Amino acid sequence: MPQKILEVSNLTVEVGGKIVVKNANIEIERGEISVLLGPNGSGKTTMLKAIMGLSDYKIVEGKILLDSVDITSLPPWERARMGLALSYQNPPPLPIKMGMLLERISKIYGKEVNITNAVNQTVITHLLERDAFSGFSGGEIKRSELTTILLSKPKVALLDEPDSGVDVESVRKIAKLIDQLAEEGTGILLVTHVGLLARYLRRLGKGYVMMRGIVSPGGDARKILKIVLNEGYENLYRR
Amino acid sequence: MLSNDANEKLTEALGKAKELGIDVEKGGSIVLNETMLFRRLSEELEKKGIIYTEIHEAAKEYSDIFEKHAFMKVRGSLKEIDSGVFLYVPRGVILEKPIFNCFVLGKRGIVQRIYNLIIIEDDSKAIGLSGCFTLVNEAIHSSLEEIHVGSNASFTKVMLHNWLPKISVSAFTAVQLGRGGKYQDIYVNYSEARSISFNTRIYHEGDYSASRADQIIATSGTGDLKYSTEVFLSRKGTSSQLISRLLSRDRGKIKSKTKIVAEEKETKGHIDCKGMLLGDGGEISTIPELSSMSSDAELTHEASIGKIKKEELEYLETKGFTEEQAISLLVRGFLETGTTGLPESIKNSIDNILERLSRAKG
Ligand SMILES: Nc1ncnc2c1ncn2[C@@H]1O[C@H](COP(=O)(O)OP(=O)(O)O)[C@@H](O)[C@H]1O
Ligand SMILES: [Mg+2]
Repeated sequence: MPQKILEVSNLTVEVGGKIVVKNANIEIERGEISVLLGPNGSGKTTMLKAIMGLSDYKIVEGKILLDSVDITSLPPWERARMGLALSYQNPPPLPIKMGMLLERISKIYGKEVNITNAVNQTVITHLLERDAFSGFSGGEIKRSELTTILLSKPKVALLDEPDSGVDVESVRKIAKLIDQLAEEGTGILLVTHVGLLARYLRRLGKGYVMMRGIVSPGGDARKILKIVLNEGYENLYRR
Repeated sequence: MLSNDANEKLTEALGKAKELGIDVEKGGSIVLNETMLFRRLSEELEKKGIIYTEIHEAAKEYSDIFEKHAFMKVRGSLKEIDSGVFLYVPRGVILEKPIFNCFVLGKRGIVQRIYNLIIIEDDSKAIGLSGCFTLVNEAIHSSLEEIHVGSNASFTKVMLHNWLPKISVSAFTAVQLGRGGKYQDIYVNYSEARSISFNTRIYHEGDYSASRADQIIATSGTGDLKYSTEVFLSRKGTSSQLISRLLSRDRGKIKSKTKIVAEEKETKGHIDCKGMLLGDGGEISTIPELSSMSSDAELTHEASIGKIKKEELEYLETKGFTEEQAISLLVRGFLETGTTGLPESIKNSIDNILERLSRAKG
């Protein structure tokens, strides 16, 4: 019996005075990877940030349940501590050493997750003494962002294009990490463009497509990926 | 013999010093008000020929060394000085452990006048950590300091200022560097002193000598803090780095002037000055100045004053930090200057202070 861990219902989000997400419905299950596809500018990042609770992304309507608890009006840090995590498409460069950032994050979430292990897995040991995300390569940014997720051991991880701007070898590594996260029970909503990442994933579940703020009903991720990769979004929309 | 009161004050001072990571009992001294009340140097170091004593005593007992080095770059005379530290490290002696000096104000209305003379002879190395603090409010600390670093010698000076709101401080430090000499200066102010006026001059008088001065200055309350650091690259191949992090909460005012003058060939200088205003009504001024008399000198500076960015704050909040935690983490990152090569114990004391500074609320 699959277990719903995140339920987004009827979510409408306004940003910059514009409705960018319209009545979205999404369900994420424990230990499963759902993918969210969609062309640039369709509202994927906006939806993820609204689910995470960022103040510029105003929830006009709808509800978000995390493990059956309504988190719609909680501040981001409370959502985070309740088990929701967002991996940014573009994390801001921070005036903090990467190592110190990871240390502090792991302090919040307890000591079960070993920083050294996480850092070895994501291969970012060489970045710990540098300011977080500043001057990092595309792959280094994504792997560092993913490390923050590993340390928080979330119930639900929202991963915003963890594969964009990353070389093929790194994509393989990232896929392995995402699969592993799912294996440990995390429910994952993965935004991705290139089919490559999804091709490596073993625990794929549902697939959603977002077009101009509207999210399609969930279907089989592999089937949807196949259509999108072969025929593009417009065709899918016409079906 | 110490009076009961002095004894009590000494115990209090020793305790407070230890709290700050200044362990004078491991080798160092305490000057309370006008007198050096405590001094300890291990036998091992004394055997190596290191002299560590009170300044008036040094002028009498080691008059030759004293006359040769005292009041060269600093104007004044011992007559106007209450006490101070004399440190002499003979040629070729490497001191890995720091020597701790404490200057403590323990009596209301007192004016503590200090003169320190530090001589690191050729091919030697030493580290000095000075902590300045008060047990009372309303007093004045005035200090003069001269540091001589010989050829291929190295001296690291760490100074921690922790004053109370009604304390006034004026300090002047002059450093002279011989050929290939190295000087590192780390200064942290984490007090609410009413006023601090601190001038530092670094004279590169030997070829290829190098200096680096990091100042981390945080103030809360209504303090008026003024710093001026000038470096003279007067010899071939000399270099210097001046790094400042200025943080004002509340209505504190900080002014930091930094200047590097390149007078010779192959000289290199860099100023990196960042300010952060956390409260309303505070004021930060940074005045970096570069001056060159040599066509192949390389002088650069970067300076900025800003506040915490919303984007950074929100990012951290999504990682589980409360707003307050996120602010202190960003402040902590801001205060970091990336010094290297310090003994673990000193690094830890500084880290602890920076940690405290970043958590303090406005
Ligand atoms: N902070 C913002 N302010 C104004 N407009 C925004 C903001 N964030 C996103 N948008 C707009 O919302 C739309 C969707 O953007 P986004 O969610 O980033 O799309 P996607 O992630 O699918 O590429 C775009 O038109 C974008 O310009
Ligand atoms: Mg996006």
